[in-house]
Amino acid sequence: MTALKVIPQLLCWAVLVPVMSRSLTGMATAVTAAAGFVVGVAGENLLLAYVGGELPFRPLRGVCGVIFLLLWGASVWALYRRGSKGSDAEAVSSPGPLAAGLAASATGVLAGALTLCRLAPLDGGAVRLVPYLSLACAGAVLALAATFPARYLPERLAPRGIPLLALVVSALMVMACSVQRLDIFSPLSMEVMKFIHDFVHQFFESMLIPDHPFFRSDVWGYIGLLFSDKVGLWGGLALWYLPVLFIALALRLERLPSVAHIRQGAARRKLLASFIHERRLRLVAPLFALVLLTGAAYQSRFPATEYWDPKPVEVTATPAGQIVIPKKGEMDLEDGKLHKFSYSQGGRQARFFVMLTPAGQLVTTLDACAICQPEGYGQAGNAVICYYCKTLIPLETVGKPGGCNPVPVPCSVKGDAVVIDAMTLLNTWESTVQVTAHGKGMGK
Amino acid sequence: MSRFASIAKRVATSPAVTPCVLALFLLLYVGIAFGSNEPLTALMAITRGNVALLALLALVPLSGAARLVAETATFLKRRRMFSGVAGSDPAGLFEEAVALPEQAPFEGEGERLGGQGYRVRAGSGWLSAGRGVTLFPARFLYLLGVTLLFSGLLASLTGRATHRQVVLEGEALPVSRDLVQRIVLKEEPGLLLQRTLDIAVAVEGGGERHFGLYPPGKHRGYYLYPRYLGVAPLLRFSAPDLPGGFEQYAVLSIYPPGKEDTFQIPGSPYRFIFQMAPGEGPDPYASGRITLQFRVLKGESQVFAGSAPLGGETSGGGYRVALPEFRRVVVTDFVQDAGVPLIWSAVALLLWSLCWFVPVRLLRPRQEILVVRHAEGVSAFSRAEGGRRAHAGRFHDLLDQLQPVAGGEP
Repeated sequence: MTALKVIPQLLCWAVLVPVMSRSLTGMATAVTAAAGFVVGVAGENLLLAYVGGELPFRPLRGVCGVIFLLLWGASVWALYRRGSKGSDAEAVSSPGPLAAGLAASATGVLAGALTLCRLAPLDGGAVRLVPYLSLACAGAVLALAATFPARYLPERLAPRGIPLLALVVSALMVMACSVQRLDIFSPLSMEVMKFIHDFVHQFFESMLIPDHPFFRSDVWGYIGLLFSDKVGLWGGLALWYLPVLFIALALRLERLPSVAHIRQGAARRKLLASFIHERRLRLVAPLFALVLLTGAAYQSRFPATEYWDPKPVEVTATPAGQIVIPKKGEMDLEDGKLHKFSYSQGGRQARFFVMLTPAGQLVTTLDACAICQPEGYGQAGNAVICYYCKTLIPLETVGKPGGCNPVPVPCSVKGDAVVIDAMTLLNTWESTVQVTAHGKGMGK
Repeated sequence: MSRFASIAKRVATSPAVTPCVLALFLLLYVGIAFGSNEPLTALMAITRGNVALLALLALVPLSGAARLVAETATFLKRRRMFSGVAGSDPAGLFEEAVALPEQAPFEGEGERLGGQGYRVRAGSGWLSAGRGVTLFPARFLYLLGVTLLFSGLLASLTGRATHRQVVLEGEALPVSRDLVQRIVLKEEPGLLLQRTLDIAVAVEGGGERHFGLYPPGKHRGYYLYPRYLGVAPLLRFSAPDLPGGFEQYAVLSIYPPGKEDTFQIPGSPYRFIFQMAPGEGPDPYASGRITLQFRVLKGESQVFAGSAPLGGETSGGGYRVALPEFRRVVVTDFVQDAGVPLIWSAVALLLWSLCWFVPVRLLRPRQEILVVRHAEGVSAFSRAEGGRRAHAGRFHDLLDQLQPVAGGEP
């Protein structure tokens, strides 16, 4: 089962190395990439073993974000340069051995570290010795063996320059998005959603447009699409695919060479046909990158991890308006798992959960955060995950406000029970959900 | 032109300026998003207070204006060349340029090009053929729109001032003696809005002005931006421990029905929580048939609750609440912002540009051929704004006709 977990990553690696070695410096690239992979695996496992917590993951996630931004920059540059006279193939010369070695080793280190994270235990600690060594060996062997198929890869299909970058980044994104803590697609979707909310709000304010009570309901319905739960996903997908689409577009829009000086029609047509054929072949790399990015987005949206997500238990309030939940009743509130409850009163409803944090404190929070649609949380190991944006929240920070943390609700422990004020709970839920489901400032 | 001026011109008209500035702001946004839940608002606040960032943002409209001038000059220059005006340097004006021998007989080619749908003009030593509609107006509108858009953003960021005030029937508008005579909300569905709002104001020097929802009217340099509606009932309240009673207009932002607002009785422990009852007929604010639901709190405990129509009263348990009359209220932002008209103009120009660009580019893009005889020989030029390959084919056929044997210089 452990081996199955890393098959998508190793497949990506097995595709990436032959392409890189064909496009860069052959066997030397493969050897450097293999060494980089082993170093990446070893380094990340050391971090997992001796640093622990979220720290081994954060820099990797940051690097993934940066290389994705780099891809964006490169794609805009490619589009900007599309009008240049020379073709891309002519303009991009092969990098020197040093640059090629650096690129291959950096890719190897990153690929190794990302792949090892897939095996990292959810509750912390290093990967066990056998899977760790097996992964390092498999990565190195695959990289070295890749030199064989690389020989059969047609030269014209080997991407150079920005299309090669697109392919490498896309493969690394597949590796990253299969690990919840490294996934950057879900946070991207969340940021897009936030941006659209903020932008629409700011636009209305800046342009002095009246608020929703004055709008026709059908018109407001269309505007409301911008606040729907899918806008983040679609916007995120657009940002996810655009760099590669820009690169493909830049290749497609490359100017045909000038043939006005050739006085034989057949010679002109032959030259143009040859250029168009070459241009089509160069589209293979970005289109393949598009497939990889689709895989990455799919893994992000439908992660393989299963979460502890109990059905909410209905609770009622005392005549004094207090919800009293015994610590040890049908369930043990102090077992370290999240326990979900729902409370209804006169058509108003709120969902919340109670759990014991690693610091030994019983906390009560809404089953919703202040940013995302209220799709709730599940628990995996030492973190809870927001189902909407897939952000992992370490248990240590549950009960604290901010970001995508579940919104805390004041509670007190009286004797053997947790006591929550029902009105406070309903008001907190409504004010939170009003903002996240209808848009900031737009639902007043 | 001096070397410095040449470099400055090249930088100012570079199409890279806008993407570079926007990329920098995007990076800033991404950086802020790591530490803030409202990165756009934070970015605006940071930009507003930072001269360097404002100067950077100002590069976009400056570059837009520079490109507008440069591209207009290029367009006019090309038009002059196309009309046979000699003396212009064709460098950079066309996509393809081919030198032909001096004896190339192009004068007779006009008829053939005319047969291919080109409008041909010819003079002594020149022949021009063009078809389709130029995209330049779309480009002009686009560049003007971008310039206005970013000028508007800049003006809005640096100069916007907002004051929230309550506009109340029977009271003067802030900083003036212009009296608000009536506030009328009507159910009049339009293209976008469901309701209309009319704030009728008697102007100090005579006459009447009306302010609505959109476009916002201007009063002494400030836009009136209606934010929330409410009512100000005259509240008469007496309680067992407040036998003298209390009477005052209570300004309540309680529209739409269901929205709550509180009112503290000054110098007493009593606090009202009001909301407008939904009602089943027309909009209560529009019809004036408003019923207020209220709870009376003494400290933290509720001592009385009930509802009363405006103009009516209710009592119980020693408490009496009367609402004998009311005035309508609009909670209004008075906004001074020079960027608003610029941004709307920009939006209109960009839409207009799009409306020109799409059909012209798809159906009848401009394609041009120019052949000129000069002292060194004959030069042929070509450019196309769309349908490049077909146009290039026709241009190459023309060149084959003019110089049937191999040769020519690129």
